[in-house]
Amino acid sequence: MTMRAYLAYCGKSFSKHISYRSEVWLRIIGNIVIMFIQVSIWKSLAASSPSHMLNISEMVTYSVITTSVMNLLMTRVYQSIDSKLQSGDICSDLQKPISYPWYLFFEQLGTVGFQLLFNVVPSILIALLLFGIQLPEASNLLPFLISLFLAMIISFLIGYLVALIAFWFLTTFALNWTLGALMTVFSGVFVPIWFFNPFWAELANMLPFQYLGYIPSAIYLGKIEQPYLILLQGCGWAATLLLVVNLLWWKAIKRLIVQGG
Amino acid sequence: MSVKLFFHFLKIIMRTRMEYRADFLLGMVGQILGYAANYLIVWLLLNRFTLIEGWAWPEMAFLISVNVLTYAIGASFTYSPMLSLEQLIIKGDLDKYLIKPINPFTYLIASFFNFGYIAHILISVVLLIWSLRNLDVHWGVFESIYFMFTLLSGSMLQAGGLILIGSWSLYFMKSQFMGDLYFKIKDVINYPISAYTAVIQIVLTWIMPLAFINYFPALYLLDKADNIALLLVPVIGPLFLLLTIFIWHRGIHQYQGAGS
Amino acid sequence: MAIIQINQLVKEYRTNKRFTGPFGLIKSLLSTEYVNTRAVDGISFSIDSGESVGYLGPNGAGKSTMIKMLTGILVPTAGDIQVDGKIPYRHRKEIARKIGVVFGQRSQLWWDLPVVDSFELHKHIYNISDSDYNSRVQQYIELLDMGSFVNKPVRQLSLGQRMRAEIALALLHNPEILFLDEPTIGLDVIAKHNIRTFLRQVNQETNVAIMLTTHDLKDIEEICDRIIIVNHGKSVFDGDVHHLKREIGGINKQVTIEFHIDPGEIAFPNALLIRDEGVRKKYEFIHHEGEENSLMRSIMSIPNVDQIKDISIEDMSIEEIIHKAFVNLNQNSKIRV
Repeated sequence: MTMRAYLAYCGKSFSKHISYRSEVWLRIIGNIVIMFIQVSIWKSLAASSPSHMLNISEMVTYSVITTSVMNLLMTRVYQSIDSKLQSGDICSDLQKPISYPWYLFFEQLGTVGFQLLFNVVPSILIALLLFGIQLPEASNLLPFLISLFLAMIISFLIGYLVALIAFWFLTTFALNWTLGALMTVFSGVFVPIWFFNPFWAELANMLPFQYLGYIPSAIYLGKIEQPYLILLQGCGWAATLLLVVNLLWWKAIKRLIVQGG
Repeated sequence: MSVKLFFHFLKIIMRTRMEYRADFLLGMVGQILGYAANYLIVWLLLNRFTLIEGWAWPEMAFLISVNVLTYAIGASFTYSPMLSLEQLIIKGDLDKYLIKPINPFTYLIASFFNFGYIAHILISVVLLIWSLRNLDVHWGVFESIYFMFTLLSGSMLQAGGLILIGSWSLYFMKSQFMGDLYFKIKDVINYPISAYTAVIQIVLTWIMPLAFINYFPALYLLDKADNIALLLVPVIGPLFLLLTIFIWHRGIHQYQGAGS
Repeated sequence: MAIIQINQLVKEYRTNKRFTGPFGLIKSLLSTEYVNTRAVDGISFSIDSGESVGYLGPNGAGKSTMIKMLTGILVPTAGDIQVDGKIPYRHRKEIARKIGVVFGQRSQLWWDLPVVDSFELHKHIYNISDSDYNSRVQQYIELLDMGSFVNKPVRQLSLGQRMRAEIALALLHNPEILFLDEPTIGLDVIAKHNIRTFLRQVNQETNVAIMLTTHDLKDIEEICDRIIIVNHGKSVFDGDVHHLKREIGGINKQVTIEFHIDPGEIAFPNALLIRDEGVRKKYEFIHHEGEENSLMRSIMSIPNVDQIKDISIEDMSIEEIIHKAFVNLNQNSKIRV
C-alpha cells in the first residue's frame, strides 16, 4: 500500500517534467557544451604532454561519464524542501501518513528517471557521435552500476543534510554556493583525482563527494583496482550520512515545533 | 534617467539589502568559496601539466579574473532585471515599469541593481592583482588605459549577453532555460579559445563575441600576439551593448502589441 | 471638457493556433496559423475631467486591456484613442505624468521599506518640487488616514492599508486621471468600504477624474456616478447608475431560506420561487424603489418563521445584470449595445 503511494509520487514528479519538454533540448545542449569544453582542454593538454601522462580517449570517456552522472544526482532535494518551506507546503507534506524522507527520495527518483531518459541517454548518444567513448570491461560493469546507485543515494543524503542545515541558516543561497564549490573540486567532475597533487588528493579521498562523479567514472575505466572495496567504503559513507541526517532531523523537527511551524 | 535619480535607486536598494544583512554576508562567503573552487580546479590542472595552450597559471588566473570581474560589473546592472523579466511578464508586473515618465529599460536596470556581486569583485580583483604581480607586463600609460577600456568593454559585453536573455523573454516569454544554458556557455572563455576547434573560435569571435571579454585583451597585454587589430577590442563592448539595448526595445514594442 | 476620448477601439490578441489529436503538439509547434481573439471590440466613450466612471464586467471582458491601452502600456489594434489630447502609446512618458495608476493585485511600493521611502522615490521620478511634495503627502496622510503606518515597512501593512498607500502614491504627482484596476479585490468588507469612501472623497476634493475597473457592482454604486458595462469586449451599457437600475428594473436580491423541516409551499407577493428543494428554497425578490425593507419584512411575516434555520441573501451577480440588460435591451431601444 505505502510502496504504491511512493511510486505514485515518483510518477507524479516524472510527469511534472514532461510538461517542461521545451527545456529538454536546451538541457542536452548544455551537457554537450560542458563535455565539449572539457574534451577540448584534454585534447589540448594531450597534444603538449607525453602520452604516459594523459590518455586522451580515456579522458573523453571520463568527461562524458561524470557530466552524465551529474544529471542523475539528487542533491537538489534541498531546493525542493526550501521552496516547500517558503510556501508552507511542508506542513501538509508532514501530515501525510508516509515517511517524509522516503517521500522526498521517490520524488527525486522521478526527476532522475526523467533526466535519464530525456537528458542523459540522448546526451551520451550525441557524445558518442561527436567524441566517441570507450566501452567498459565486462567485469567493471556491475560495480559501475552499483556505483551509480550509490552516487544517487549519497547525493540524496548530502542534499538532505544541506536542507536540514538550512533549517538553522533559514536560507539556502550561501549553502548552495558552498555545496557547488565542494562538488566542483572534490567530486572530480572535471579533473580526476588522480591528477590532483598529493595534499588535495588525500583531502578528496577523505570526503564523500568523490562518489558523485569520480568513483563511477574511475570504476568504468577500470582505474580502481578493488572496486568492491571502494563501494563498501561508499556504503559506509551512506550509513554515516544517514545517521547524521536522522540526528539533525529530530533536532529540526523539535525546532519546527518550538517555532510553531 | 538622471544620475541623481539612479543613485537614489541605489540608496533604496542598499537599504532593503541591509534588512537582510546576515543573509548578505553568508551569501558572500558562499560565493567566494564557489569561485575559489573554479580557480582551484585550474590551479590543480596546471600543477600537473604546467601549461594549457602555452598559458601558465598566472596567465590563466589573469584570464579567469578578467572574465569574473567584468561579469560581476555587467551583471550588477543587468542580471536581476533581465532574469526577472520572465516572471514579471507572467505575473503582469512588467506593466508597472511602463506607466512611469522614464524609460522602462533604465527604470528596470535601476530598480533591480544588484549589490550581490561584491564577493565576485573581491575574489577576482585579488587574483587579478596577484596574477599581474607575477606576470611580466610593461605598464606604460598606454597599457593602463587600454586595460581600463578593455575591462569596461568586457563589462558591457557581459551586460549585453544578459540583456539578450531578457529580450528573449519579451519575444517568447520563457527564458529560464536560456539563462541556464548561457551560464554553461559563458565559462568557455575561462580557457584560451585556441583550445577549441576553428568553428567555435569563429563563433566566439564573430557571433557571440565572448572572446573580446578576456582572450583578446590578454593576447595583447601578455605579449602573446602583436596584431594591431587587438587595439580595437575596447570598441566591441559599447557597440554590442547598444545593439542589445536596441533589440530589447524592439522586444518591448512587441510586448506592447505594436507589431500585430 | 473630455479628458479621455476613444472611438471604435479594438484590441486583438494573436495566439498560435493549437491543434489537438495525435500530432497536435508537433503541428502546433510548426504551424504559423494564428487565432485572433478580440479583447476589446469596437468600444467608444468619452470621459470628462473630474468625472468618476466605473468600468464593470465579468472576468475576461477586456477591462484590464482597456486600462492598459489608456495608460499607454498596450497599443490598440484599431480605432482612435486620446488621453488629454494625446495618443497614449505614442506619448507614453508625457501621458504618464498626467495619470496615476493603481493595480489592485500588483504593488508599486517597496516591500521591505517604510511607505515614505516609496513616496520619496516617486518624488524623484516625477521631479515633484519639495513644497508640492510636502503639502501633498500631508494632505493624503490626512485624507487617507495613513498617519499610523506611513513609517512602517510595507510588508507589515494590512491589505487595506497597503491599498491606501498605493492610492496616495498614484496621486502624489497630481494626475488628472486616476486609473484603478480592481482596487478592492481581496479586501475584507470594512476595508472595502473605507477604500470606497476615500476614493469618493478624493474625487470630490481634488477633482481628479477616476476610472476604475471592477467586477463588484458595489464599488461603482459607492464611488462612481457613471457606469460602463462591458461583456465579451463590447459595451453593453453606458449611463448613470440610477439609470441602469431603472432600466433593468432594479437590482434584485436572491434569497435562500433553509428550514429545519419542509414547510411546504411558501409564496411571497414580491418574489419569484427559483428553486424548491423542500427544506431549502431559493427566491428572487423583485426590487422596488423606496421599499428597501420589504424583503426582511416579507420573510419575517411567514407563519413558519421559527422553523428557519438559515438565510442567505445575495446580490445579483454581474453576469445576471448583464443578462438582464440584454433582455431589456431587446424590448427597450434606449440602451445601446
